[in-house]
Amino acid sequence: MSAPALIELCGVSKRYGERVVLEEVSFALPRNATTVLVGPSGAGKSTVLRLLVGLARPDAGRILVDGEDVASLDRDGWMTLRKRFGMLFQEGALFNSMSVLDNVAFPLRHHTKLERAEREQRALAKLAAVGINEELAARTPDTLSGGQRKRVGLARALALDPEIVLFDEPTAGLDPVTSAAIDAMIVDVGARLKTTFLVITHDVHSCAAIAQHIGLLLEGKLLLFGGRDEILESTDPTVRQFFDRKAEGPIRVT
Amino acid sequence: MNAPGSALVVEIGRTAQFAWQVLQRSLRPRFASLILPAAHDLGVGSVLLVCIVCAFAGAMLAVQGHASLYTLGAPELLGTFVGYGGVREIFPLVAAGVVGARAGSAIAAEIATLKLGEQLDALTVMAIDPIAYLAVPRFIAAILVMPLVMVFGTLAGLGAAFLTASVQLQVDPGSYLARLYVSLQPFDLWAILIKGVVFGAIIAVVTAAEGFRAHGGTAGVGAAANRAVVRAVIMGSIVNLALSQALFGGWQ
Repeated sequence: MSAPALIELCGVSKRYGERVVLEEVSFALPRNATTVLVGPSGAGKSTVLRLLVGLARPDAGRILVDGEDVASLDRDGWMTLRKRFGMLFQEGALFNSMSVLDNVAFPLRHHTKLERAEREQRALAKLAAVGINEELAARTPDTLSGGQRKRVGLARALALDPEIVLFDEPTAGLDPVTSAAIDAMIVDVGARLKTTFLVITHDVHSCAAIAQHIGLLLEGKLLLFGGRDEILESTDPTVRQFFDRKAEGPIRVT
Repeated sequence: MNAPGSALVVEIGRTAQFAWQVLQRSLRPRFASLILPAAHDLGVGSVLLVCIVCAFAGAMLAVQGHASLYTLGAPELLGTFVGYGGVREIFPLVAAGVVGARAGSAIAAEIATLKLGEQLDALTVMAIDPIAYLAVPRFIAAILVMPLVMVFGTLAGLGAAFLTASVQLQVDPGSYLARLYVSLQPFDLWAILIKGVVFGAIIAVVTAAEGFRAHGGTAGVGAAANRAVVRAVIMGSIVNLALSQALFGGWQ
């Protein structure tokens, strides 16, 4: 028997009130590779991330991490599990009350026994890896550009050297050039760290640039999941409509 | 679910649940280093305003008390009146109202901003319990600082009442103070401290709860702050009535 997948979703469903957001979604996240879940807005992409980190609970189905069902975790169990995750939030979710450096050192301060100087050194190294210099590190996040905030958010997500990094729409709200730079950064960091990345986005350019595996979510259902080329070259009309950005096709624009 | 009043019951239940979560975590505070800054915000930031408002309340209490007692021909009883009405009721309630409005709206707005900016989710994902990180230090700070703020407010109110009585209303200072002294007992200081702890707890829990429940964009921050103050003030008033009845209602 092979080792269990790092993360596996088995028939996961989630509804908010009457609205079904995810319906029987199943996939195993490939280890040490970048997987991109794409789909139109409202397809349930964000919900997948929220379920993985325990910000929401599935109504049906199981989520396995290292083969263990997360439904059995209590509050402490979740806290332990979450230390293995890093997450880049859409707007960065940084604390404007502290400097960029302190933001990145924040997880180190609370989850390691490192001395202050050591924490700051580690945080500066993480910031350097995403292209943020010491001068920017001394500023507060609200004085940075959108692209810079995303970089800082990634540095913070990487602070504890997580096994899995989740990205919530990393290029949303950025201009095309900055988006390309963020994509390049994700590819670069992914290649160096050989960590498991899960990215959700509706940006097909970004998806093509960074993905090694792709899943296409549509109205709460996982339509396809496979290797990058297999999906991008698919002749399925739905897949084509989405990746070729056509208004006409099986996907209804609501 | 739609029976009249069911929404109120649900809300009270939610706030009670939140209060329980805060209490549980307060027994072993994980972020003790945040208590002092929170205490500074709450105490130092409010005490001057509390003293000013209590002083005005004290002066008015003296004027109206004097007007009532003068008709009875016993203006020197003003000391007794200020002792009972001011020290036991008006000054603590005014102090709580001021802190509730000032610090309470700040607590709710701050937490609501973090909620809507996904920072609360970010804390959770970073394996840091947002209630332990944000609500518990403010809760502990409030129950420690609020009694002191109320003592200062009471002193300011007493001072202003005395000045108004002796300078403006020409009440004999010696007999005023003697009446005041007789009306006050050590128990009254305890009552202020008890009320301080209770008001502090209510302000911190109710306003933080509203912050955590904020929703709906930037307008949600204002709405949360608004709800927080309204609820803290209403609940504070109800609990004040209950406490005053228990402490001074003559049941002993």
